[in-house]
Amino acid sequence: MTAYIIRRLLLLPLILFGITLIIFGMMQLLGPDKLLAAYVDPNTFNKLSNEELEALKEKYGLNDPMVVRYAKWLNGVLHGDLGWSVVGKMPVKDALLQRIPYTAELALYAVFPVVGIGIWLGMVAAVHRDKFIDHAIRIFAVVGWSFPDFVFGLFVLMVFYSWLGWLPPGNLSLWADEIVRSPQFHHYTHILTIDSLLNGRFDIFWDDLRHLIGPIMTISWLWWAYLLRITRSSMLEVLNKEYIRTARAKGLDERVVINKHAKRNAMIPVTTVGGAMVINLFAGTVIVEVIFNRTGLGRFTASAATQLDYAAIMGSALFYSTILVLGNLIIDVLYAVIDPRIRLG
Amino acid sequence: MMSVNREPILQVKNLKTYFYTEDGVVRAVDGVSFELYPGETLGIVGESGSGKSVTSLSIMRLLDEKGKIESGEIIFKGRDLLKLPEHEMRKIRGNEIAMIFQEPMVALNPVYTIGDQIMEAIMLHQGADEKKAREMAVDLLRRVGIPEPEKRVDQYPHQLSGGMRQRAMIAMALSCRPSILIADEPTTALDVTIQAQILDLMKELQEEYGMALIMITHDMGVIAEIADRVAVMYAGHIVEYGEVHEIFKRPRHPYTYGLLSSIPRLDVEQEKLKSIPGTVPDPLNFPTGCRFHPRCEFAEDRCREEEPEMVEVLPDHYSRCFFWKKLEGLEVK
Amino acid sequence: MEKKTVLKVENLVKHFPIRAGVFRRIVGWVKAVDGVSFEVYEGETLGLVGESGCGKTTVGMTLLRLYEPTSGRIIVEDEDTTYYFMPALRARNYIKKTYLDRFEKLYREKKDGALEELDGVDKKYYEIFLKEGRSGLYRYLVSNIPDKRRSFRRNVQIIFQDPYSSLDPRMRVKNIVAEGIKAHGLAQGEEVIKRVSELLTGVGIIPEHMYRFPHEFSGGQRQRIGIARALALQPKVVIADEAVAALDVSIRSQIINLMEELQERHKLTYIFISHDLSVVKHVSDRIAVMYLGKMVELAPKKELFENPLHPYTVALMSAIPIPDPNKRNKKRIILQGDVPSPINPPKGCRFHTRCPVAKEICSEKEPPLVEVKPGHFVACHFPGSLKWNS
Repeated sequence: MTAYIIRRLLLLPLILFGITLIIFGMMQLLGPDKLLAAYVDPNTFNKLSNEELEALKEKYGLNDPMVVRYAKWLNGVLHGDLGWSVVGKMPVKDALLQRIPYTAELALYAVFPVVGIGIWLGMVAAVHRDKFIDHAIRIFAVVGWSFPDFVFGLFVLMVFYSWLGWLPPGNLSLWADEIVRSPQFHHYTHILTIDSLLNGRFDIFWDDLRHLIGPIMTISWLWWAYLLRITRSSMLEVLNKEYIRTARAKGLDERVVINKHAKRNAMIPVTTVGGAMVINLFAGTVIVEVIFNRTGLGRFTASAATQLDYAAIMGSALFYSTILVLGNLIIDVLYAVIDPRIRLG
Repeated sequence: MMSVNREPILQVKNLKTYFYTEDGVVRAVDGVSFELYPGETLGIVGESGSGKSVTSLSIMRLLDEKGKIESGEIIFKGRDLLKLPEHEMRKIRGNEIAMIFQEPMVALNPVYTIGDQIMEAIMLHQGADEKKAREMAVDLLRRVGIPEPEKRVDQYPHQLSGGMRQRAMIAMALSCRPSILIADEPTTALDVTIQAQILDLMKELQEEYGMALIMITHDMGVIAEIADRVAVMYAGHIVEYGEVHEIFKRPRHPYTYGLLSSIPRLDVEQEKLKSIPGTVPDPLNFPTGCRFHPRCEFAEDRCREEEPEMVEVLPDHYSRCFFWKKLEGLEVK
Repeated sequence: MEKKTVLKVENLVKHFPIRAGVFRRIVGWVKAVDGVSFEVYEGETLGLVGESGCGKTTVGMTLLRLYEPTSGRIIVEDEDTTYYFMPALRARNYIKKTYLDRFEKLYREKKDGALEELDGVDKKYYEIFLKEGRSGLYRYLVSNIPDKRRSFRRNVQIIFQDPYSSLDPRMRVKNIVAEGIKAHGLAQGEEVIKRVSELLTGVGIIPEHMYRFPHEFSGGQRQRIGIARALALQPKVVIADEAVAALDVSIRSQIINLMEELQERHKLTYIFISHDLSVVKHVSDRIAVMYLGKMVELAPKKELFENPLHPYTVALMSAIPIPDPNKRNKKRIILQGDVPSPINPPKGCRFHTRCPVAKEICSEKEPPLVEVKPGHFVACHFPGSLKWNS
């Protein structure tokens, strides 16, 4: 088991290396002229003469062979230098670090409804198969599954912001933002919900929460509906297994049969699919942050992509990939913990 | 053979179990009656869809939600199991009546150790603490012939071979010293040399524990090997019922007779196999009259219209056939 | 009368790689079939019997070239078919190693005299080699590979165990049976329908039912369709892999009888693979007993049952429950333990770990398969030492 984890960890840099190669290669398809735009103010860009452009290309090394440029970039990455972000108007590293907490907060909180509600309702539906509660849950899931997240997001905004005024867009209200930015407010963890409590500011906590609920609902909705369906069918399959009959034949209470014998087995496929989905929540933040006008990594990446902010794209892609690879590792480990057949071969 | 106490430990009376499926009602078990005496082995033999497994699941009341026991009585130690509330029934399952299944591969939970699964029943029914239960589990594993039981007790099912898993299943079933063990095709999934080991073990343990055994199988060889009495099932009915030597020597139902003459045998020379024509009937659509009549070489008009009752053709030998006399003089070699 | 060999297997080996780790490296081999040789005569039934993991099914699959053999030769009707389904380069190397280089060496040493020590395909190919030279033999062997493949597929067919999963549920019975006929151009248009009707009638299916789907038939009927499908190409050899194992007892005898009838009618040769010695005994002319990738005994049926020589054969016979309660108390030989893993088979005789009469030499030296009587082969250091009275 330990050897397995170590092997996977050793593989991690290799995978990341491969990913950087792919992203870097794709960016090169743009050609040096487009790439130059990332280094020069767009207003002055059009006024430059050809000679000046060539000089700039030379200055930023855009005429070097690809291998040299890649090596330079990689060297920078290894030394913590991801380049300059045009969109963020600061080093890419700082831009990312500034935004990661916002997105992490969003994605991590979204895990709770997805895993909690999705798996829990799926189990409930399976145990009460074909009863009223099962039908109700399934209709709920079908509706969820058939809504694209951006439509659902707009719907949430319309109802809870425009009509009811409960859930405003953005990250924080203006007044709260001012306090958070003031030097009196201590940033212990950079996760605002926690920091506000640590600072004893329940009003800010409440304000933050109001801004979070809409986005969380939007990103998690689709996924927990999906997870629900997976859990339900997995659980139904397990309930038909012979070892469940064996457990009943032992005279075990139905609660024990379900909670001890069925659930753990049902979780085996759910872990794989569900785990991958939780990782995808991070990717889902791109759309949600744009719709709800939130500061965060997702929106940053989206604008970096539209403005060809080459260094920023590379930086966030690297970050997302790392999350993805680490997440997959965690899933594999979980999988082995649940299923002795994997653990013991 | 042991002396049979004539007070049955289990009496099944006119059991009817139907399944309500989307395609219609499956009359899987349709009026089955038999007795089981302490210490004896009753073989229930039949082909797929004959209702033999459903009978055993009905006794345990372990049918899935589509299956419903329509009528009948299952008297165990003076109480009708069908009238017991669920929590009372749970005290009987695994404790007084235990069961082992066909595929030891899928009948054991893959995510818990063998020991854990055996201890569970011991702790539940005998109130033993974990330490005691574990000791008992190790003893049981040793008793069923699993080498290094102290090590095996902490292993998972996938780490054991098929034969070992079935031994573990048996250990689990015997953990509370049940008075009845129901074995549903316990050796079908095993290789013959392993089957011989398991059958031997079961005979041995039955004697040691003094329990009654219901052996459900499609294999006439296994029945001949282990059963004291036999119930032959066909299409939801018991068609013949009696002492094992009687049934094999003087079958008085055309189905039993056909079955016995159609098996390839190791011990005698056969030219051409006799075969029962036609196909096993669809449980959604059992034939009217005698359910065997479309495949029966002795069938007459009466068989098509009227359903035969069980009759005692010889002392303690019953057949569900109008024309059982036609089989007199016919012997399976 | 001289028996004609239709199929000959020489030293067949099939090892499956076990892969593990991140790079799926090969960490071991499952030695499913490990050096098996036998001949099958025209019109006979050869029974291949053994427990799970003995390699009997792998032998069948490898004969059919559903698995590529690791090594060994498969000769069908005086032609080496081993290389037919290999990738071009491997086939070339195989031919070069097995024939061209060997014959060249033989020729240098003995010229024409070498013919006397060769037989079967070797002799045939050596004659070509003498007449047409190295390149002539090479051309003979590699020409028209697609035709050779097709004729091989026509000649060797299989009946599978599971009549439920071996028929495509989305195809009508007519198409299932006709597929091969069309692919091999054996009939066109109306002719095809006529052929299919004949075939279905032959296996006891009403031809009017040919437009139905497999799920509309019972297990036994499906197996009949499977047989019709196998016979559609008028094969010479039919491999029946546990063909009756999944069927109900009362249906099993119907199918066995049908297969015997068809054998007579179409002069078929069967390789009947089964774990059930009683069934094998009933259908076979000769029986081969396998254990852990090896053939331990091969003999004509009567000889095998009257005079079983390998302890495993004896134990297997004694383990089968006889459907007669009067024979209940006969002493059985109960083998201890489980079949060892084919990944790490025991050294010496593979059966020695479970053998009641094993001696020291059995764990050291592997006994070869030798002919102890005409037609009776056994691989044991002490043949006949385990006795059992049935």
